[in-house]
Formats: sequence, C-alpha cells, structure tokens
Amino acid sequence: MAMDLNQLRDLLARISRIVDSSGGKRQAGDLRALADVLAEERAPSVEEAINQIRVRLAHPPRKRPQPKRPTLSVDEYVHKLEDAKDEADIYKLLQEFRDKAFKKAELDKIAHRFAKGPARYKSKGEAIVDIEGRFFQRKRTANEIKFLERKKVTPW
Amino acid sequence: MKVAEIREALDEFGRLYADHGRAAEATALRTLTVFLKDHEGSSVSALASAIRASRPKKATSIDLA
Repeated sequence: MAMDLNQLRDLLARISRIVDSSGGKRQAGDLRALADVLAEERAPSVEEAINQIRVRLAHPPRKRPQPKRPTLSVDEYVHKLEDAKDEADIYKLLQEFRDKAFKKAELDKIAHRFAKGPARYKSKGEAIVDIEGRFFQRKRTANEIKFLERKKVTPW
Repeated sequence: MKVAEIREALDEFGRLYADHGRAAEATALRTLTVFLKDHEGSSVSALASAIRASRPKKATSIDLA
C-alpha cells in the first residue's frame, strides 16, 4: 500500500531520531526539515507529492510583471503640476508619486523644481507635502489675482 | 548540508527496510531518494525553500476582486 505524507513524516522523524542518537545532529536536523516541507504538500501519496514537486520545480511560476508606470520626464511632471486645475488633478498626481515604483530621486527633482524646495528631501512624504503645499499656494494666489481683476483693483 | 549526504543516509535506511520486508517504507524512501538524486548539488535548506517557493500562491482578496 502506498504511503501517505503523514506516514512519511513519521518515518523520517524515526530515521532522524536514529541518526541523531548516533551523532549525526546536522543530518537529523536536515531530515526533519525535509520531513516538514514534504508534510506541507497536498497530495494523497508520497509518489504523487514527489511528482507534483518535480513538475513545479521544472516549471517555476512566472513572476507577475509589474505594471509599468508611464515614463514621463521631470519636466513633463512639473508641467502637469503647473497645469493642474483642481484637487482631483493634483491628488491623481500625488497618488502616482506615492507609488513604490516612483523613485525618490525623481520626486526630489520634481519637488525642487515645482515647490522650490531643497534639492533633496528626507523622504518622499516630505516632498509630496511640499508639492501639495505649493499647489494650494499657487491656487490661492491665482484666486486672489482673479478677485482683484474682477474688482478692477490693482495691488500696486 | 548537501542533499547528497541525506540521500545516502536515506538510501541505507531504504535498503534496511527492504531487507526486513517493509515494502511501504522501502518504496517511499526509494521514491524520495530518486527525487533527491536530481538535487544533490543543493543544500537541504535551499531545496526546502525552492519547494515552498514553487507552491501556488493563495488567492488574496485583491486577486479575487
């Protein structure tokens, strides 16, 4: 009768105890590690489990390709920030900056250009806060200018 | 420790079980040692990691969405 995985684990545990008692501590440890990893398989028999492992190791699962973000230059991002009309536009961009795939070095350059901040920020978060602050500052200034134009009043 | 050392030890035990008429144990160990022979250059821990890594990932809530 074919042995199942629990029986194999018990068998390997017995063998590891024998090996351990005869001085083969490392071998015994490795046998237990092997027994554990095999016992985690989902198969009705040892033969079936080994066959499944063979197939899996011969055809390792492909890594899921990382979605590529659009590759815009620093200039293009700065222009996008300057052209952002409302909160929806800016938050969409900030969300993109928060993405792990977005490199800090690139964001530093964008924040430096757009928010006139330092050349290098301590973190991406700090750069994002600066960009957001600059956006709202620009928006307020633009609103004030509009207001003054409507009133036909010049500040000078 | 290399897989080869473990394989040799299991080979010995497999023969002992076969000599004593314990066919189920002998067959299981034979299956295992034949598999281990293909991985003799690896360490046991590397092989164990490779086996675990080869398992299909469980579906996450994001995958199901």
